[in-house]
Amino acid sequence: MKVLRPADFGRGVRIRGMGTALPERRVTNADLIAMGCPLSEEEILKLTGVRERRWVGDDEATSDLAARAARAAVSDAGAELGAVERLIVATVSPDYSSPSAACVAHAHLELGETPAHDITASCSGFVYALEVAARCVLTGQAPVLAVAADVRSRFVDVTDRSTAPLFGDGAAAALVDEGPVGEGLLAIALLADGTGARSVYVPAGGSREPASARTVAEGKHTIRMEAGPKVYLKAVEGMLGTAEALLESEGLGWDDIAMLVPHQPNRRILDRLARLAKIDPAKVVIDLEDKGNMSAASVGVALHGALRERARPGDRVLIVAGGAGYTAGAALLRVGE
Amino acid sequence: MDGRDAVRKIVADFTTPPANDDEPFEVESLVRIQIVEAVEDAFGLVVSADELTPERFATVAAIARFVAEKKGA
Repeated sequence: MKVLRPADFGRGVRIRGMGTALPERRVTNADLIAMGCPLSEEEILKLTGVRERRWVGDDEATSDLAARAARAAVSDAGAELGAVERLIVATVSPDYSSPSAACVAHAHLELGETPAHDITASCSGFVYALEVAARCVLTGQAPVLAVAADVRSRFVDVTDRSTAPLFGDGAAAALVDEGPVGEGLLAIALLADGTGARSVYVPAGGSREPASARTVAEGKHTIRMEAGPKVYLKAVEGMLGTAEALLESEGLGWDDIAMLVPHQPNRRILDRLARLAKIDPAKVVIDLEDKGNMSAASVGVALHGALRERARPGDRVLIVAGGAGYTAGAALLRVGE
Repeated sequence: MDGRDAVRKIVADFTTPPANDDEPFEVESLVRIQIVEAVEDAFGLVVSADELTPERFATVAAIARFVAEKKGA
């Protein structure tokens, strides 16, 4: 696993501001059951830890959430949209198959000629976007908007017991900029294992099986999880392995971390992660009870809340995500004084 | 109580096990992972994703064999 360290280039990279966007519509477990989810409220809570999630309205899409989060991040940083030199949107649920959600959000944000593109890394999307943004900053392109946004509700089969209760919609954005050496982003690493490409996926609508009346009738436009228990264990192993590898590369251990901010796939996975890592559970940020699993956005939304509500100057914060593909990524941050 | 009895008791907390321990029991994936974790807790082991093949956790007998192999390893 190759680790990117801004200090190795004699430079610093920081998250200058963050913002999030959640849809207004709340979907409780009772609402989900009324739509056809074949589980009880008690089962959903016990199996996932989710009480409610936010779903977009009929007139909303991923780019709308991405643009809202981006505006909030720029405002939080005290910056201007006109200064942004690149827009990155990590998503697996773009408004259209083509073009990118980033280009649609770009129009909302009126970014002129600023380059814009998507990244597809499933639930690791925020970390992937952060890594690409950091590389941009290190080569003189700054600031960069790294956004993660997903609207998985459009692809949920509410009758599927394995996936229906999990997903919510949302977006998180970070304005990534130059900063003091030794603060902000200290180290970041990504990895992928394509043997899991069909572990959690939407079978139809791509070039392998284009959408047709038959694929829709067969529900192939919805999220499928082929081997749920294996994916569950793989998610924990991916996040834990990546996090520990990054810590080891920096000569650190779990005791050196003030907070672990993981992707939020479901509560049981996070409990297992904390148990296997032997980390103080109080250090693990849990932020899914009222949001669900927002795919790429989850870890960014959780990080935003943790930095605002819990972080103290000098804290080392480790973020880690793992998802379909398989993909994984981890980043070590140091909160500025 | 041997390993198979203990496994049968764990499975019974989640579903009615078949009378024959070699007969597969049907549960949804979110429940099957709970059974895996209950087996881990009961026998003090950690199951990896690669170890979690459909065959190993399909029947009471298969789980008991897996536990015995894992504990003996």
